[in-house]
Amino acid sequence: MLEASVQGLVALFNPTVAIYMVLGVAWGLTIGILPALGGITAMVLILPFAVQVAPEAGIALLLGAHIGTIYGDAACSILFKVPGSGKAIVHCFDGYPMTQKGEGARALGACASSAFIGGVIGAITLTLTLPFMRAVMLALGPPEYFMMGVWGLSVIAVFADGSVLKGLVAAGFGLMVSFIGQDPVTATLRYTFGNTYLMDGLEFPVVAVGLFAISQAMTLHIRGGSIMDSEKGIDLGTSSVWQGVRDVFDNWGLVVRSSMLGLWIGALPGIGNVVGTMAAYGQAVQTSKHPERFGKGSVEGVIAPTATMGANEGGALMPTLGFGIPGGETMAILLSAFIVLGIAPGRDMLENRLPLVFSMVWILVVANMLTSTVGILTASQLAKVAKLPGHTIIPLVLTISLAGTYSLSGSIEDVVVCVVFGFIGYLMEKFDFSRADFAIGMVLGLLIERYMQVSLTTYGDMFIFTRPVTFLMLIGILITLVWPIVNSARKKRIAAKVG
Amino acid sequence: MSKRTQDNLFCVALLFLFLGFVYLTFQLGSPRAKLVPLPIAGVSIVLLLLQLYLQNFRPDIKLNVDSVDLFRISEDTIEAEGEVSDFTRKTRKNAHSEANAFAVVAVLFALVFLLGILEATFLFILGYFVLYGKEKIPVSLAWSAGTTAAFYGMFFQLINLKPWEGWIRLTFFS
Repeated sequence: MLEASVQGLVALFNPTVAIYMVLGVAWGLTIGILPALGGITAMVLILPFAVQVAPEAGIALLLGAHIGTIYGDAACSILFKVPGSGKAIVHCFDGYPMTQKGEGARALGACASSAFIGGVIGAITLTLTLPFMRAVMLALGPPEYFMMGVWGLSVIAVFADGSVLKGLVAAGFGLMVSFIGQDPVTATLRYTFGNTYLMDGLEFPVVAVGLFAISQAMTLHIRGGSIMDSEKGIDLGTSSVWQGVRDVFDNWGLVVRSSMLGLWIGALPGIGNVVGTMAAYGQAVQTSKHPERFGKGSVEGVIAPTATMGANEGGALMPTLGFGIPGGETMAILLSAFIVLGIAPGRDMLENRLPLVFSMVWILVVANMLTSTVGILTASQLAKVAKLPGHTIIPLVLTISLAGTYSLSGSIEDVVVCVVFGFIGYLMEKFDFSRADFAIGMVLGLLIERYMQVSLTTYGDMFIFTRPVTFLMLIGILITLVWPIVNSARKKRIAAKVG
Repeated sequence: MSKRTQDNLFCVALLFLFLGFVYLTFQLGSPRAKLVPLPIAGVSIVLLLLQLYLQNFRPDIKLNVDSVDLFRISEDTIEAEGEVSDFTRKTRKNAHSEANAFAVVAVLFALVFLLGILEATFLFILGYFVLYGKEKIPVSLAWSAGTTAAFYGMFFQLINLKPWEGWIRLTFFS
């Protein structure tokens, strides 16, 4: 295992690999940070180039772009409250409030540092635990993946910004929207009204751009001013990027826990890192000394999900290459590119071609380091975007949103959907229906349904109780939900006794 | 119209949406296809009805919840009748009305649909900078031309995306 890891590292010293990796990182950072063009869009745009060059160069280009978009997505959430992909939704909870308080540079610095450290921890842990991880991956099945999806939904209840009822309704709305199109098991068409466009369902990036980018632009247009609330003033002592870097080291325990979470959840095929970031955020809330600060601009709320994202990618390569099951939407694009480049996923990859697998892991680590360095060096300048006047940001965000949405599949219907959800997103924000909960519901809806259907068919109606791991996961979720209530009641009893 | 009334109307609209989902779900042929959507829509309807009841008939019960004290009722943040929230307060420079915001997005969409992506981008940015930003024409032209050129290079040259040419061109000039 160690030998394979070292062989993989040596492959990085190939100049071609290094150059294309740098190009990929530059592309990912540039595109990922633009509202409506992050995440999967950036990967889709670079895919045609990646498959035309030499295989090792193509792999380095794609993986570098992938890492660049991770930081770009997170930065876009932090600066504009527009998640470029599902996994960056969580950064809107605390990253954007930090920007509004004038701490955008600190948030970006924390984001860049935690992503790098998370990536390194993930790569090292992966090297040491790969044999065990393979056994776990093979042991888990659809019932466990179903519970993972439910775990992701349970975060909605753990963190509800505003009315819990409205948050749950928003999640229900998101779940229903995810069901538009074909049923994943029976292929029954649902809520399509005979429209061929709706038969494929609504794409998450299209809905997310409308829900967040368009509605945010509308809010800014109504409110006036800039993203940063300049009336609140800036405390320069807490808003520097290096403060963000220091925050990561001050919260090293959180970084390690979140990285472990990201690595292991990333290794589970088909789950994706959306669940990982939500789970990391939830555990950050519950283990924090100041949980009341979450949702209002807590740097821990930025550190936890970013460390998860950094570690997640190494783990996500395992099911993608080992079983051909992508760990998320960007892994799906990577997988298709790998096949074109002559890399056939399968058990042979994890048993006989480990040096190639580890060279990819090390590319991810080095790309992470490069991205983090660029991120830290540019954070102060990037944070100034929040001070740009609204009349500069608004037209750019709106036009990029519609153009980026159109570019996904060249369909004008996507633009219509984007605008409609822009209006809906504005109204949801106005009346305290959490858009983040909607997005979480939409991302997890089909995943949960698919695994539940397969579990019912394969293991029967009582699958939750007949499979020990699934049952234990259910207990864990219930404890996660009930613990805050018990803890609160206990504190009230103590306060009453003292009083 | 007060914010509470608007809130109620939005909740009722969502209620009808979920009822619509329930109706359409019952029309599906396959029981498996109904298995998950039906309970989710049903639960959402119950939650919405509870929300409407609490916010209209039990205003003493506060609905906003702290992230730690799950389900524990915290201090009031629902604005009373007549109060103006941060969300709606228009005390900043260059603030505009809600209707204006909806109209801006609608105009952009109309331009995109009728004229095409690139033409709409150019005209919209130019118009917004001049009308709302009060910028000089040369500055506005620079921003709109630069952005349009960037879009053209990125989308229509780099990846050879076929541009949406606009309904007018497709209908009358194709």
